[in-house]
This record gives sequence, C-alpha cells and structure tokens, in this order.
Amino acid sequence: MRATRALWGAVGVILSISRAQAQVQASVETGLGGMQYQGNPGAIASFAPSLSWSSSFFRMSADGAYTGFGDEREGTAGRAAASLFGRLGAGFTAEGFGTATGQTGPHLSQGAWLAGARIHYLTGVQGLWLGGARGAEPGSPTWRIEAGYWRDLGPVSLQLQAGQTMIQATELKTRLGPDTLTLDTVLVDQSKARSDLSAWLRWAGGPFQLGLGAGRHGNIARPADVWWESEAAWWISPRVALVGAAGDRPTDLTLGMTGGRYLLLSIRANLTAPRPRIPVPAPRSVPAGFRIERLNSNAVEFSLPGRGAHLVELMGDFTDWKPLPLEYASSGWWRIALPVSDGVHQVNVRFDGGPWEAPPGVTAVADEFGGVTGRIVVQ
Amino acid sequence: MVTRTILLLSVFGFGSLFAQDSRLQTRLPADVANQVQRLVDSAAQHGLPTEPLVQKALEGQSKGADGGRIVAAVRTLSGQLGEASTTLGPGAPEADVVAGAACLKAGATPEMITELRRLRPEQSLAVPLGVLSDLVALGVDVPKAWEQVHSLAASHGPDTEFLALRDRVSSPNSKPPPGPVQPKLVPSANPPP
Repeated sequence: MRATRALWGAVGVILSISRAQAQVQASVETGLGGMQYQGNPGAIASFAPSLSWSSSFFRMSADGAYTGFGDEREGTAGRAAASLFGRLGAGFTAEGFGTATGQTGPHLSQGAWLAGARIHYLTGVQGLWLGGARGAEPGSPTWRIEAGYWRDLGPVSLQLQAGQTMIQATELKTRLGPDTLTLDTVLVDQSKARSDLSAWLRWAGGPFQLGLGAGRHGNIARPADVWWESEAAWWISPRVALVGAAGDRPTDLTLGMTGGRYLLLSIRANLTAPRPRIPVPAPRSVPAGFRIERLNSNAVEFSLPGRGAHLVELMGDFTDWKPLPLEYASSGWWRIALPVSDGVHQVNVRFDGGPWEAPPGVTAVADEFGGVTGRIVVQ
Repeated sequence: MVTRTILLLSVFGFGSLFAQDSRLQTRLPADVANQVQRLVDSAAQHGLPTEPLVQKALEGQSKGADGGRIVAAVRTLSGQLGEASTTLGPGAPEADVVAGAACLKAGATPEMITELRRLRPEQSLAVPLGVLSDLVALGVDVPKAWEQVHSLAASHGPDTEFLALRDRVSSPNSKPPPGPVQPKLVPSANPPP
C-alpha cells in the first residue's frame, strides 16, 4: 500500500514538474491493406492510436493497434514505454527505462516486459548508447544488452542498433538413471539467445516523409530472419497525412508471431500540434533554463533560475542596455516582464553584480567589448 | 529647389538634418557621443538602420568599455550593416540587414545571404541568418552550418525549423536522446495463425 502510494506520488511529482515544458503528440491512423503470410493472402483493416509525451527528463509513449482480418478474425496489440533521464555531465546522460508489450490474437494472448538502464553519449547531432535490461517473455525470464548510434544530417536521420537477448529456460526431462535401471527426472537448461540488428533511415522534405528500416534477428536454434519495412507519408494538411507502408516481417517463434508481407494504406490524423516538418525535437525559441513567454502583443516575460543569487539583473537591446532587476518568483526562479518586439535580440544577465553573461542555455556570442551576449528570438 | 536644399545644408550643417539621439548624449562622454552620432548620421544617409548602432554604443557604455572601443565597435558594425544592405538589395527589412551583418561578422559570405534571399524571396531572413550566425558561434564550421541552413531553406522550412536546428546543436542534452526504434506495430503484432 505504501509502495503504491509512493509510486503514485512519484508519478505526480514527475507530471507536475514536467507539465510546463512537456511536449505531447497524439495521432490515430486508420487503414486498409493486405497481408500475405505463409503464402496465403488476406485483407486487413487497422486502427492504431499513438501517444507520446516528453520533457527534458521524462519520456513516455504508448501505441496500440487493432487489426481485423478478412476472415473475421481479429487481434489487438499494444506497447508502452517510459524513461527517466539524468544528465551526468561531459556529454553523458543516464536513462532508466521500462517497456511492456501485449497482444491478443485468435489463438494466443501474451505479454512481455523489459526494465533496465542505458547510458547515452551525446555530441549535438549524433549520439551513442549502451544498455542492459532484465525482463520476461512468455514463460521465460530474459536478459538483454544493446547498443545504438544515431545521427541527424539535416533532413535525414540515421539510426543503427543491435542487441542480444538471453532467454533463460529450463525443462523437466526424464532419462535413464546412472544404473540404467531407474528413471531420473532432471532439469535441463534450454536457455537460448536471440540477436537483433537493425538500421533506420528517415528523410523529410516539404510535406513528405520517408522511413526505411531493415534488420535481422534470429536465435541460436535456427537461421536468422531478415525483415524490412518502409513508410511514406504525405501531409496534405498540418493535421492529416496519407500514409503508405509496406514490409516483410519474419516469423518470431519466441513470441509466437507469424511473419508475412504486408501493404497498408492509411490516413494519419495528428490530434495535437501540427507536426514538425522535419523529424527533429520540437522547436523551442530558447533552450530550457531561460524562458521567454509573450504575455500579450506588447509584453514579454523573461524568467530564469537564480543560482541562489540575491540579485538577478537583465539588460538587452530592448532596455537600451540599462540593467533591470528581476523579481523573485518562486522556487529559485526570477522573472521580469518587458515590452519587446518580435525578432532577434541581444541580451545579458548577471547574478549578484557579477560579470555579464549570456542567459543559461542561450547561445553566447562574443561582443566587441571582451565579453559575450546572448542572442534570442522573440516570437 | 536644389539650390535651396544646398543652402540649408550649408547654413545648418549636414548633421542638423538628423536628430541628436538624447540617449547618446546622456549616457556617453560628449566627445564619444559626438563621434558615435556622426557615424549614426552617416548610416542614416546611406539608408542603413541606425538603432543597432545606438544600441551598440549603449551596450559598450553599460559594459564599461572605453570611448575608443565603443566608437570602433560602432564603426565596425556600421560597415557590416552597409555590406549586408548592399548584399540584400534595396528595400530589405531592417531586421534582415541587422541579421545579415551579424552573419557576415560570423564568417558567412555575401553569396550565402544572396542565396537565402533567392530561396526565401517573400519571407524574412532574420531567423535563418541569425541561426547561421549562432551555429558558427557554437563551433560549427561555416560550410557545415551553411549546408544545414541551406538545406532547410531549400525545403521551405518555417522559422521554427531553423530554431529547432539551432536548439539541437546548442543544447543536445535538453531533450531526451532517442532510444531504440520499434518496428511498425500494426502489421507485425496481429498475425493470423
């Protein structure tokens, strides 16, 4: 009971802290298509909602799918993932994560989960991660190690990832005893490993998005399967896209999933803000740590953490470079509302009369006077 | 008419055509204020934005710079504004000229500004140019920064995409890093037996 209360308390704290900066994306996709499995073609209809929610230190996503097959069978599937991030400095970020998947079909219902940690090394437009996790698949505990690399090249992004899942399994078997006259029942180790390797490429230009993914996965007991999938989206409005997807999925004996080729045409509706036109983090006019909020057509509020200072001042080309003191707001944050026009502006802040510096997280540009200024965009 | 104009100029002096900026007079020593004022007047004559020059002088004063450094900074900025204005052509918005000057200062070439103008003939260049300057300030070399900005401009990306590009470079840790990509759920998770 206490643990449950603590869990909900932690969730509440996360929700309240991240509410201000959270980015929420929700969409729903409805489509028709065909799937060919084991040589048998069939029609499919799908309905797939998706939700993601992220802030600077938290990310959660969930998506699901209902698929109806032409012969009146149907299935549902869902997966959810949550991660907490903590910066370690020097480009390293730690992540604790948990994922859960579940599915029901005409002949099976099963689930799997995984919980673990990753360490990321980030250098701006590229990153690397290593991770390990503990989990369970139907009937068997699992261990997993994984590594990945991503890189943004403007409108193109690339991601490579590899992992190895160790599945612990034992089985009771009966065999002849050492005297060959009696039968012994022994526990036989049936553990196996499954490796996976995949590469993803995405491109966005204008109203179009393309995605390609390919990989292989297999286990020790049988040859590896190669799979691929592709998707093209045409955003006919900021909220509606026509999506075509095709691919070839391998049979997954561990999860009991039959593979097959598919072709799916669907309509995707973005239920939140209009989608970004390139697959990059949601745009922000300034990084976290220094906030700019337009209050009305004339006034803009600046706020920043005060680093424990007793006096925080700000000046810029919108104050005629006259230092103005900020007022203490709460929780260590200071703020000031000023008349500022839209556009690019120069700004400096200082703490307790110290040197003028760029606001935290804002690009610092050398000035002509031996110091720096911060360049911001007010919209 | 021309004769009358010349007569007026000779009687009242060229500078009297332009208002003295009281901010300069009250915040700067008189000789520094006068030198800056002459630079401001000259810029106005050439149709350049003058407020950035005044602001540069006030910035220097607030940061405790000496008069010579303030005048030099204003003179340099005036030259950059002139080059940006020439590159952007007549009638360029003031914000574009200011951003163009910052871009040239950062190491961009006039050809880059001209190309952006061609790609965004009807839109302001202030944000793309500002982002280009910022990327360079963040340590991205000019050709690579230009490649990214040019790519976005060529795909007719809105200002928010340029800002997102800058944010990605300036604060890579401010957003959660991507995790493993999952295959598409719809077709793979509901196989018929």
